[in-house]
Amino acid sequence: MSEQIIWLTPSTPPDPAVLGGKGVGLVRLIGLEAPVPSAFVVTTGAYLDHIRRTGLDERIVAISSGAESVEEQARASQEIEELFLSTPLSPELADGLREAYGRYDDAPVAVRSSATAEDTAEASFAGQQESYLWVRGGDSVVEHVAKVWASLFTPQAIAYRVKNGVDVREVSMAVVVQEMVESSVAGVMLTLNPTTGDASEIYVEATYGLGLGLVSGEVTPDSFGVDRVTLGFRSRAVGSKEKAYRLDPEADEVVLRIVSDEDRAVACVTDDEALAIARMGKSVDERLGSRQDIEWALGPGEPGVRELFLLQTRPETVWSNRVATKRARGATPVDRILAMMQTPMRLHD
Amino acid sequence: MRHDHREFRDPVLGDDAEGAEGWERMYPAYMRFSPENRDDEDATLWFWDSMHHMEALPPFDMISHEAWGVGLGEFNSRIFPVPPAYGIDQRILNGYLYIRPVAVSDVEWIGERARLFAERATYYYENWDDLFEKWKEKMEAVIREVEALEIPDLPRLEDEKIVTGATGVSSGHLLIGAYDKLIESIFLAYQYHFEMLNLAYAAYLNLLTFCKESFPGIKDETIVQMVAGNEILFFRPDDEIKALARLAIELGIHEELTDGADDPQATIARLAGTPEGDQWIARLEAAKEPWFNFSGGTGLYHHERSWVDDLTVPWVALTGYIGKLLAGESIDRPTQEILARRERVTSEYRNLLPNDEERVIFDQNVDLARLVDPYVEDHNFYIENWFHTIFWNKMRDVGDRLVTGGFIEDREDVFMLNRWEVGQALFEMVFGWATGARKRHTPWKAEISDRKRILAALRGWTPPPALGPIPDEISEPFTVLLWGITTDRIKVWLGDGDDDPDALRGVPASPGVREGTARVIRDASQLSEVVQDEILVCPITAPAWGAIFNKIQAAVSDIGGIMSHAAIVSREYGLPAVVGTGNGTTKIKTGDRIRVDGDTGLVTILERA
Repeated sequence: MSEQIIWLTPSTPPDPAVLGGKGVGLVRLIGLEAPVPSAFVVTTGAYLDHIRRTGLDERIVAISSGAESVEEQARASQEIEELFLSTPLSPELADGLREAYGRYDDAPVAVRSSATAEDTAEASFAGQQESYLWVRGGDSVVEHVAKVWASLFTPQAIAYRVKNGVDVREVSMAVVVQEMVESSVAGVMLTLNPTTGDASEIYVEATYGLGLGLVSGEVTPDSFGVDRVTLGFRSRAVGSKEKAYRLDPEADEVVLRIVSDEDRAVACVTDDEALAIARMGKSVDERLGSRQDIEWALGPGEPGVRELFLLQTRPETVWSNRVATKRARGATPVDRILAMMQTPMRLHD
Repeated sequence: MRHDHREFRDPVLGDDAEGAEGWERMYPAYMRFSPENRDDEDATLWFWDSMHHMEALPPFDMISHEAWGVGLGEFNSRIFPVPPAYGIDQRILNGYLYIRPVAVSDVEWIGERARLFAERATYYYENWDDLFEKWKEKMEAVIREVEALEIPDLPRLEDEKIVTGATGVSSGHLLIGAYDKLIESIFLAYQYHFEMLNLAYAAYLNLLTFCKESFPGIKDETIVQMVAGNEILFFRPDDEIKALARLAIELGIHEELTDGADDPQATIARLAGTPEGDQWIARLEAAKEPWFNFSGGTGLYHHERSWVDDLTVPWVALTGYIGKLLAGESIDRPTQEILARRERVTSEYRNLLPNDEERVIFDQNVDLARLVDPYVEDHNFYIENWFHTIFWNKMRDVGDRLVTGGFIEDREDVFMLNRWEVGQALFEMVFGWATGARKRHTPWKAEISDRKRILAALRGWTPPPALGPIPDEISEPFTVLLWGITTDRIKVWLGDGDDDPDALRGVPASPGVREGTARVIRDASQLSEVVQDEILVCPITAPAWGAIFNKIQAAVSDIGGIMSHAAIVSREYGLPAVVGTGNGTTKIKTGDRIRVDGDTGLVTILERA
């Protein structure tokens, strides 16, 4: 049997079939010695072993293959989730998870899906797999791994597979368990401009608390366009940041809080912080040799002195996969000057 | 061009600025809008050339823009034919200059012009450095000629030399000839001005266009960084001041210089006669020629005096540099760093291009822009500073002759007549001197005093940014580069922009963000008011103002683009700058606490004084 739990280190082979996309992204960041919270991965092998050993695979096929209507798909999804939650992990895996988690000394972790096909159509339909933040305790980690597995079978994912005749036994998933950063501010960045594809820009979005609301579209973040070469701002916009996912220390869980008017009116990161984030993005992009889509967080503390962490990176796909349209250009500078002179400037749209 | 449903007021309305009735008399008919030309003049967009001519024009000063108008036009229309565009037309309304690009409409003719442009431009680009060397010789010859030009007095009886030398020519004839030569010289200077400038700007614009296609978010000033960094004359006057500061400390006379900062002439007189003083004064005199022919403004107005005329401005710089040197600070421009940055910025953008084909084109475009850059930077010293300083002062000599003849009260009043009227007055004077009869003077003195009233009234008038209908497109490429006429700009003019009294938008011209106390300076004479670490707020800066950039921490100007002086010097000194805010000097008051964001072009008033 292959390894079921792998700690991510610079020497971990970055195999998406074993670690899933997020796992590979983290290995790459760790390889660059980027500031990444430590993490281990429950491999795709562990998932496959689990569903085969317990017969879950056959039961999932039986439940989902006939689900044609939306109602049936919803029912199937729920039934499969209940199955995952009621089927115990093998003692080896469960003990292994408790032991691995034990190294965090009861600190909170994030338990996140790491699909093998994050950039494919399968992923974009089925890719709503869950992430659980602020998970504490070995038993809870074990339970959340099962929950993440179950999230492979959302109603939409079932619908997609039924329609396209995908055998669910071929679908697999890894789970990343990562030390939690109690972020005061978090966000994403793209190492190009998302609207124009301009590769000379690093585009950063930032919001208060954890980055959850940003991905789900619940908050309008602050945004910054930074020139990749000069590292000066191209644009700066303060977003409305209505809500923030924050830790409630009493309940020991993540809650959604309203952001005060005062905090909403100002950018949630300082200019220097925004530039430091962009610089980090530039460095990751250059060393990996491709445009990246990066999740980041700033730790607790006063603005300006907060520690920067990278939580995730993956290759940017929208612009990077686009075939560049070739521009017709004159052969000599004078030809090009003539072309330019004969392109009038429109004053009306 | 079609009429948009939105348009500015008609050019031909004939309404006067309040209290300025009679302003039309100051300018010739060909410079004014007129009901007879209404069909043509009301049909096009005109915009106020606030960049070059922000003040109401004293009648004589109109010559500066006549000279650029005809020079630019000839080279664009007839010599290096810009395919879809002729020159830039001009009119004066209430003393302010309005301009419009003139389009070529005949498609076949455009094609023919393109073919000729390619041939002719290629010849200049291929021989650029040699042609620029020749250009400098030609330009210096014009300047030397004007400098040597004698404006003769009209004696009661001519000198015997006219007889013994058998010259056969009177002083009256020479005086009229000298004036004609002087007028001819400025028109010649502007021929040279545009001999290479449009081609140079075309090369710049070509790189700009390529970079913006490849990197839509790139800023103009970043593109300029890829090109600038050559040793240029622009900084030479400032460098001379630095050398003088060093020498003063070396000779141990720096305290005398600093103590006498309010009266440079008296200080020089005090120092003269001591060996150290004489040595320093000799160095100063050497620096003056030609480097102090450095205007306190754009150079285009007679009243913007140069360093040679008024040492107060260079003295501000001098004492500033002495202070820095004594404090152990470096006053050198970081030229090596600037060149290193230029190479780094260029190569990093180059690497971001998608393929080698694009890189080849990029390299060609950068090389061409770098080839023309010294001309773009240096022509300004030769013409707007050096030539103009000497030209205006020679006109003051003409003024002196008219004072002697009793035609005007003061030499400066000569600028209250336009160039045709000065010729007319000189002729009248010579005619009277020739015949010995009392001529019936045109009542110039009364007219001049009335014009002073009119000009004062015109200064209080706010010119609308544009006149006439908005066309669908503008096909004159330099209008976009030099005057920054864009769709956005027109929207702002129409009042579509937000009207926040505490925020101004301009062109981000030098990166960085600073907060500080504003100091509003309207002309060079106020420069000594600037206190260390204030933020300069000004209508437009002139090269001579370079001196105070070591005192301020950011700059804001009403007028200008990324190639304006404030922008160039701010980048050189690493200070944030926002230029072209339109009305910074009106909205911001000295003492206000403001924030200058040189990255986004936003200036915010944080706290009112």
